[in-house]
Amino acid sequence: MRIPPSLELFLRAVVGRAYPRIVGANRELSWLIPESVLPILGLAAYVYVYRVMKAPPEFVGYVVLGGAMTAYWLNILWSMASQFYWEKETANLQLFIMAPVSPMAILLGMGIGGLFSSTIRAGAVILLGSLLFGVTYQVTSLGLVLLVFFLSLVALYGMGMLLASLFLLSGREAWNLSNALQEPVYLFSGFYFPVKSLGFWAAAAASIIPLTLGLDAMRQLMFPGDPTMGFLSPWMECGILLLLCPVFLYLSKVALKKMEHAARIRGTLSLRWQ
Amino acid sequence: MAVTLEAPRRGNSLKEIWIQFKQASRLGWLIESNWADPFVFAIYSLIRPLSTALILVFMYLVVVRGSTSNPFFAHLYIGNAFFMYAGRVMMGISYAIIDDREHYEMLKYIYISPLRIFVFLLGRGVAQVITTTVSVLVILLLGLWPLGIRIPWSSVNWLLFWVSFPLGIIAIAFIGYLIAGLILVMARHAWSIADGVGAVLYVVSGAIFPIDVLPIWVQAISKAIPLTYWLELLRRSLLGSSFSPAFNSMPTWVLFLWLLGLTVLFGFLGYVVFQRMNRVARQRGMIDQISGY
Repeated sequence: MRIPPSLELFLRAVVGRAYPRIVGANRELSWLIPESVLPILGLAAYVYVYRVMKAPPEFVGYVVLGGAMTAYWLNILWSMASQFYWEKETANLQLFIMAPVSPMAILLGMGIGGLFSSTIRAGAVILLGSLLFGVTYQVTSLGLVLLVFFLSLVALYGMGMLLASLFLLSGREAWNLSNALQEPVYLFSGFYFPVKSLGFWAAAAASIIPLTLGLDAMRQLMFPGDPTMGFLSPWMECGILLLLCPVFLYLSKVALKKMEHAARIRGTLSLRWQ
Repeated sequence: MAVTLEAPRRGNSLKEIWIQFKQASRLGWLIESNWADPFVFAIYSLIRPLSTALILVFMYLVVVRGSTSNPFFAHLYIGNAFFMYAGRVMMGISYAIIDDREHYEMLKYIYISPLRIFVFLLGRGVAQVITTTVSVLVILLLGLWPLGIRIPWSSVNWLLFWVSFPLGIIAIAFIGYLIAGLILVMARHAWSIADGVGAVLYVVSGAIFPIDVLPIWVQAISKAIPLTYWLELLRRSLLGSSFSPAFNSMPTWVLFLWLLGLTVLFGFLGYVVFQRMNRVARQRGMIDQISGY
């Protein structure tokens, strides 16, 4: 069976953009040290706060799991959403736009390339965090954990593409926007505490960020100690994530097209240092 | 006709250094803030620190399920609020090297201008002190109301506060110079040095928990950095008590002497390391290097 030429081009663009990230990460292995040690330091402070307050042991697990998932949020924020801003600054964006490929293919390639280093970072956090702070896991359904994780990432990377479209128009505010989105998402998605404690409506609003439901479901499936800590049932959260995936992918496709058109009109595609 | 070119002279008199400092501070402020109108800038400046503070609030509430008027919460909250200076001022000084060398490609022009690089970086730090002060004040107000932190206003030791506070900022600035010096001679991972030092200090300084819970060898590091004493003195001046049992029996003047001594030590280290690395970077032609990393 012959692959349609447009699909072949799309796939080649994905591979072409993912390649430098994966190969680059393997050529310069020194990044592994800061990428695995820094997140541990960040979450160590929260672990000690819980210990001082004599929180149940699963809270340390919540922090370690949340700390691991920050790798994916940071990847979305800095290596995908704001990546178009960096490409603009290095004068690559205009080349991407000139090429006869979809921006979605380029973003997907970035995402897949970034997934490689993010997964290593997340794995290092889980491994080191669990060993250093003595976290024990009681996985009730490995299949569901993996399904929730997969769906969370698909929806999250769709959201990343949507954010990237906004950055097509941005100048220096892109850096500040990424900065401003980092900690608020840690807060509203409950990276370091159960999201249920925000209250039902705040947690429901925060569920628009795929990691909110993904983290909550994974925590319930990996630390079943206190069932009252979960926001919704893992199956329901899995179902909502399944709905969010096509919604974000569709919205990102529409937004990228509109924003690219707006950026062409405003002449911001090649504007540097603004 | 022969043309003689004279290198720009960097003034040494106090007046000239003051002028340079003022210009560097103004420049630092403009770089930090002129990408948005003041209202948008204020929102962006507040969102991140407010979120960090609220993460701690929810962590506390979900476990303790009690009132935030508890003294433990006040110590945690105030420590976190003032630690923001450490993150932002230190980063402001050290990140300026990465920003101006790699991103805006302006560092070489700073070097050939009459402005001293040391004073220029101080200006970038001052801009961060201004924005951080606004953030800290908003967070403290949020702590007082609606969170209900109790500060015994009648017994606040303002003298101790106003003597300790600037001393800590100076110590933080010199740690920033130390990192900036290292960044000058680094091509890769420069950002991770700055981030890493910030993360280490957040843990070892006992910003959000008493240092007694740390392993003994980490406690030794805690007691060798000025920030630990600075935060303890600020808490003692505002709340009248110690967060960490390790400092309970230590008189305030001893804590202050530790802060003073360590500030002088880090000041010396920061200055010497920065000047040395500055010379090395110029000798190796690293001032305008762009790694694209």
